[in-house]
Amino acid sequence: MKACKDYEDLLPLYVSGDLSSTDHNKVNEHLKECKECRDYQLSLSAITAVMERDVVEMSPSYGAELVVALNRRLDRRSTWQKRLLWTIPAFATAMAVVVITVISLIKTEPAGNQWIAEMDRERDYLNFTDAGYFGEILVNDSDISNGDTDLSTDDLYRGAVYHIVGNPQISDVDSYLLATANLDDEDFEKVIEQLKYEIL
Amino acid sequence: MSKGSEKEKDNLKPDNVRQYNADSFNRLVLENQEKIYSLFRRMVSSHDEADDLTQETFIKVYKNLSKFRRESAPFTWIYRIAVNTGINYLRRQKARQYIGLDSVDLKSGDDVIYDSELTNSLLQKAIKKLSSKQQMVIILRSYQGLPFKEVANIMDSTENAAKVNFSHALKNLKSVLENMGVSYESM
Repeated sequence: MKACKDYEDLLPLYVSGDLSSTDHNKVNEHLKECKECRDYQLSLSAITAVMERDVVEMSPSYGAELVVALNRRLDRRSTWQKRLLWTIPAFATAMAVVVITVISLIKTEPAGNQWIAEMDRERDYLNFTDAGYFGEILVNDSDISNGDTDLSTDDLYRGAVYHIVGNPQISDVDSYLLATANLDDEDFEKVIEQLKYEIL
Repeated sequence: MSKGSEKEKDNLKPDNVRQYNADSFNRLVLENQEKIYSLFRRMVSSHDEADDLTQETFIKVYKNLSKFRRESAPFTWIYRIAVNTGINYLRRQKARQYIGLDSVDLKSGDDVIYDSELTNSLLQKAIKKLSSKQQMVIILRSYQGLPFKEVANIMDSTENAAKVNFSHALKNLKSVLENMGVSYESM
């Protein structure tokens, strides 16, 4: 004869109507004799009854509104893609013009050397002030020292990981998070702690 | 296969899959939006969040139309994308809470309501405390009423594994509700 523990595992499927007829009859027989399991089954039935009664309220126009919103997003995406395609030949042409102009200045005009030297000085100034070597903008000193100079390393890690997991644009995070879908809270917390130090 | 799913499959004939056809995509959205929105509405607490996730799901559907291999019904394929989107959303939220910068404290006793009746809003709070996969199996089977065969297809598992997962989820849900002080006597 099965112990109550075994019936406890079958009761959720008994309540949802997903047991084979043999198992269903066995559970029925046991419930007649065991008040504890009967109470357990009634609690599970009460929970599933609330779920089955629940109806999601939706605006009748939601479907049409969704289609409009999606098409707008997709149109915007394709416009940007087209624009991006146009920029490639435009950029190549612009670069060719710059190279030809610079070469002709070096070769023909002595005064051009002076102009190039001035341009170099300007570039050097930019490199060591607010722009990187590849034109990226560096963070201003004032932003770094904006009252947050006493942040600990842990705070910085937490902030960075928080940003990474919160940013839906970073799709690689999805595959890591999907792999944790079966973990209970305690194990998940361990993974996140590990992630905090290893992802960076 | 049901008439509904045959009709859905017709919308994804090779011509339509290879060449983006706005009408067929729009029809696909209209035929599945209710199921996908209600899945998310049971998972999150606001209409806006559910709407965002529904849109994200259909954008992914659009981007991956050419990869759809017709091994399953479009309905199952779209559900699978939605479930993965939902699981990732829940994981991201939980990760942010664990990192400690979100205001919700998972381990606080804020949800303890003694001698309370079991209502759907309490149930939804309790469901949020389950693992994301257990949340999904509960929503798909008990709220959406899908058979386990379909649940297994969507969650890329066997039917038996889906049943075991559901059984654990419902038992865990009962324990969570008891810890919240819910009483079943009035049910």
